[in-house]
Amino acid sequence: MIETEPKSKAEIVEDFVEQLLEGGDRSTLEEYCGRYPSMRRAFEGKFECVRALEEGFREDSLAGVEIDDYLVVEEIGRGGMGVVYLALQRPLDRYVALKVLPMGLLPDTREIARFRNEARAASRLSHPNIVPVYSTGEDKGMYYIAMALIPGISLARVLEGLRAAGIEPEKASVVKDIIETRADLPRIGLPTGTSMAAGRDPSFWNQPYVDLVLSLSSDVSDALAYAHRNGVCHGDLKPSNVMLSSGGVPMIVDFGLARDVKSLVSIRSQDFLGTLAYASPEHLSRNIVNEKSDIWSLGATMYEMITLRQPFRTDDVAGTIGRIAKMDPSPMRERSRRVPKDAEAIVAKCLEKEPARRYDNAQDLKEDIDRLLAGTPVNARPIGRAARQLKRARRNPLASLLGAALIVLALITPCIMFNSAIRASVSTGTQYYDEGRYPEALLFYEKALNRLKWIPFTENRRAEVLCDLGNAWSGKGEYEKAILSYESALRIDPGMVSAFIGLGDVYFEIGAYEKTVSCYDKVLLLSPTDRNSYYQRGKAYRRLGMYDKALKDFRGAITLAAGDVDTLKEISAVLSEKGLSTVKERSAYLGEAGFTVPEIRAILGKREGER
Amino acid sequence: MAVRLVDSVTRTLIRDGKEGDANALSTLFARYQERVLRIVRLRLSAPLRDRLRLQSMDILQETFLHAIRKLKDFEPTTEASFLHWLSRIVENVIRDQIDYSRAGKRDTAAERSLDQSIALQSGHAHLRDLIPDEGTSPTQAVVRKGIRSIVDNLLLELEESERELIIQRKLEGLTFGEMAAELGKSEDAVRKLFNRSFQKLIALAEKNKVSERLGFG
Repeated sequence: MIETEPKSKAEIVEDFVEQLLEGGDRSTLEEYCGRYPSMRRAFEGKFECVRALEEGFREDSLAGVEIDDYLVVEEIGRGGMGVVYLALQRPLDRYVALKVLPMGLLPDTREIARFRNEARAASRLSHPNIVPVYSTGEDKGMYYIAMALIPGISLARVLEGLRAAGIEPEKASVVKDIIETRADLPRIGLPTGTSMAAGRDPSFWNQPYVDLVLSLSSDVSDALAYAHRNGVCHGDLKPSNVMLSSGGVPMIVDFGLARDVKSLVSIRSQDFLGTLAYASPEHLSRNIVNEKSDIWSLGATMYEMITLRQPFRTDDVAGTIGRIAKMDPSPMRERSRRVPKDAEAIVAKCLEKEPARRYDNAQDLKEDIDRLLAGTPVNARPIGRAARQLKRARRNPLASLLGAALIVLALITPCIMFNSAIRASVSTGTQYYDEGRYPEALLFYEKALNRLKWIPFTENRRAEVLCDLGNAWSGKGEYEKAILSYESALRIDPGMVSAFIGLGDVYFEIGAYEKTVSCYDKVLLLSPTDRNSYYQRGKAYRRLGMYDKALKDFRGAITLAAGDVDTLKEISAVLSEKGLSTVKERSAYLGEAGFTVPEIRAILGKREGER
Repeated sequence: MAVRLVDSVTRTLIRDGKEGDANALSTLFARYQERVLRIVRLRLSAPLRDRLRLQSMDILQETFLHAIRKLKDFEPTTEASFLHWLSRIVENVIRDQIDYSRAGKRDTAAERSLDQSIALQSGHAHLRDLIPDEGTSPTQAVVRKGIRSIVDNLLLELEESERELIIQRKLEGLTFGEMAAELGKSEDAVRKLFNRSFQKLIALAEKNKVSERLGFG
């Protein structure tokens, strides 16, 4: 986007809306507000308006569909990990929550294999604070998990309710009120008597709000400890993944699915910030997910439940990442004196940047919380202001002197570079590529890749640039390197059409025609109306001497673009290679192959014309 | 570009429907009846409805009747292609009805023969059982329905050509490339036309304070 001349405000707003219609999201809003701060209100108005209209066009895409034993009734939730539907399990006549995963990519990629393993492991977990998984499976090209429908709401919605109330919660009973007013299930007329979870006795709702959070956290860490003992970690624990039943029992959902989160979450996804805010530093920097990172996520959740604020969240991705990596959250007691010092210490111990300094395991965390609730001394040591300063100094002496604000700035900068420098490298590379200057193109693509390597959650972008790189190697005639680039792109995104196309063409160049065919098989599976792919696959079949298959593909190409000269030439060539010389023989063969009379005329006429 | 979930589901249902699986047909139509009905409503303006003495539901049923008969010749690639195909049938059905009403007669024979052709195709299933009645679907979340009808009222204030662009893009789900092929224009031109129509819709929405009414923002 290069601006050549200054634009009027109306034009800028128009451009902004256009970006939104092309799939822009909140990050587009932030980008424009950043560029034209004085026009924030206008952008926000348009943004909300587009969002409302889009909502009016959105559909319950699977309602009414049967998936194995389940009849989908309606959508009840949507997130980075898929769409959740209310469904009726017909044989048992019970309602379930059916999570359908957006994995309609290629059959049998590693991604799916991993999903299957994880789902199987999760379905073996049986704990009062884990939502039971009834079954998992595949039907109609979808992967699904059926789990118990919990009458209640997620902690994320509890938080929404508490924030909407606008006052600091004192008693646990406010949560009960929120569950009763916000729970969706009675609205759709379900039998709510089938609650999975036992209720609490009335005194539970009379305790102070902070104690309620602690006691829920104790249950959640008990569930985590159980799962960890069974070799399953959660990987994406956050308020929206903890259901609070109407009886007041917390239950974790989505166990073990989340390790895929990085491949599912793209930089544009709206859920991105939601997932990011609870991710541990080691998850972001090194993609490590284990019991220690679950403990971190629970700590971040506890912090938010107690203060109603996310410990690290800022308005943008870069800022949040920076805070998670380097900044301690502001002490909870600065926000509320009601928070016991020991609770502060426990949460801080969960949120230690260095995994080794956190609780050893979830069991230890649970026991410490229980000690606090019982009024006995806890193991976590409270951290005073001085100790915090010291800690920061130890971690980064220079930065400590310069002040935290500067560190964040330094961390944000590389991420912003993604928007400018990397984009510039890629587009310069592409310019060179278009001019046929491959060595220069290679240089710029490599440069972009080197930068992308350091920025989390940019895999999809990396895959695209790898594919560009493959094209440039291929243009330069270095086919082996091209193949390696395409393959790396496909490892990141196994459904990347452009990489399959590039790979197929390289294999064609080096005479590996079977491989060309299999690449284009995939392309056509993913994009079944791509004329050029039929044409290319047909050419490969022709080289393999598989004339009937070649003709079938050329016919496909002709159907999609009648009279295409290249295709007609190829068909002519197939006919002569097959040794058909007379017009009669040729038209009979074409007729057998399913060509229509006008097409046959065009093909034969073309051949005559060429002579 | 990945194969979308909905596309593979739609393809499976259509394939089974073609093979005479009445269950697949009823699922297929149950799935799309809301959306097709919405397209019908957007095309069948109130005066036209009165003149034809027809309700949107009649057009919907008529559309599905035609669809079942023609399904065997239809090769779906995406959900959008199926919806677009249904949408063209809607258009034809409405046009036919206008022709009938001009000719001063309502032909019920055609309907009957369609009934028979279905009975043959799907074995035992009776057509009327395949098409659910309006309003009985348990799938409508009340809130979303409210948003939809507000948006639909705005759409009805647009010019017909503008409305059609938005129907194709947002309700049928066509790509700009597909729309361009359909309209015989360049992709870029179609994109510009669509953007202009949508900007107009946004202006209408702002005038009517839609986002405030729906609790956005």
